[in-house]
Amino acid sequence: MDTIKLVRIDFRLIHGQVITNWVKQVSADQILVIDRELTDDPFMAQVYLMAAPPNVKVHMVKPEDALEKIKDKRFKSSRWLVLFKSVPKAKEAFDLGFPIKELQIGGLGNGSDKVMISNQLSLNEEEVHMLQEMEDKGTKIYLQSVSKEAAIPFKKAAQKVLKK
Amino acid sequence: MENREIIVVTHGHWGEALIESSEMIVGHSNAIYSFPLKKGMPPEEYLTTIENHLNPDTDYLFLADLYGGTPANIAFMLKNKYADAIEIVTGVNLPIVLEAVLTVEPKTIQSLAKELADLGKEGIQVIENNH
Repeated sequence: MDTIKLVRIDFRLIHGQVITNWVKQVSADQILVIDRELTDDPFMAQVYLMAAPPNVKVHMVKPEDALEKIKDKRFKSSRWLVLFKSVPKAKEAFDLGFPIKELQIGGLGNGSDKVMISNQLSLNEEEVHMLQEMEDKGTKIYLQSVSKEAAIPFKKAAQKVLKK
Repeated sequence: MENREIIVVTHGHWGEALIESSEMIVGHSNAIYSFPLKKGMPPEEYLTTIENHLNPDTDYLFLADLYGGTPANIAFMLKNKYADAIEIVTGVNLPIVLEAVLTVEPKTIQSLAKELADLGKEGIQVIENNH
């Protein structure tokens, strides 16, 4: 799936300047939001669509429809930025056969069971185990919120979480 | 390429607060900071404080809160003295600060100023039901 230029997890999904910046970084012209709940919630879908940068088309699909969307002949020369809201949602699509060669963890909210990795990034044990499973199956995972910051390898973040 | 720094100049401390807000979203940057015009502070003192801080090998993009306000006018006086090493955008808002922090590519402060001004205007919208 050479047309997939970036796969990112960010609980804020399309979040103004942050996503605009990544769209520029990878020259994306399509955004694919893979999220079952959003496809059933037109109001919330609209809220996220509002924040989409100009010149990019946003698609929202259920995980089981994601691969078909990307494979559609009409998008054969497109450049996709794929977004998930959470680790379990990315894992679900991955388990259904959606290809994720590289995975960027860009934003995950805080919580009492979470270990803070950086400003916008917190992970809990459950998330670490899911991501570990994906990495064992060949996905390269790293944590990076914005392009000006250095990427943190998943292994390093995982150690921090499991050690606590 | 010269170094580039962003200076937020505002009436009171909201420039500092604005940068703190942007850190919640895009993290910390050393290249952006604020000079507050404090209540009762003479404009000359404000000017001197900022001018003493300026380095000859750096370009400065000022983000001012109010066109025609003292912070913007002081920045304008500095621009009058240092010409192309200083550029000013007024009407600073959060989208402008976020984009200023996220932009690390080498580009002139002149082109960055233009981009940020356009983007700041786009950030002002009436949210309608059928967007």
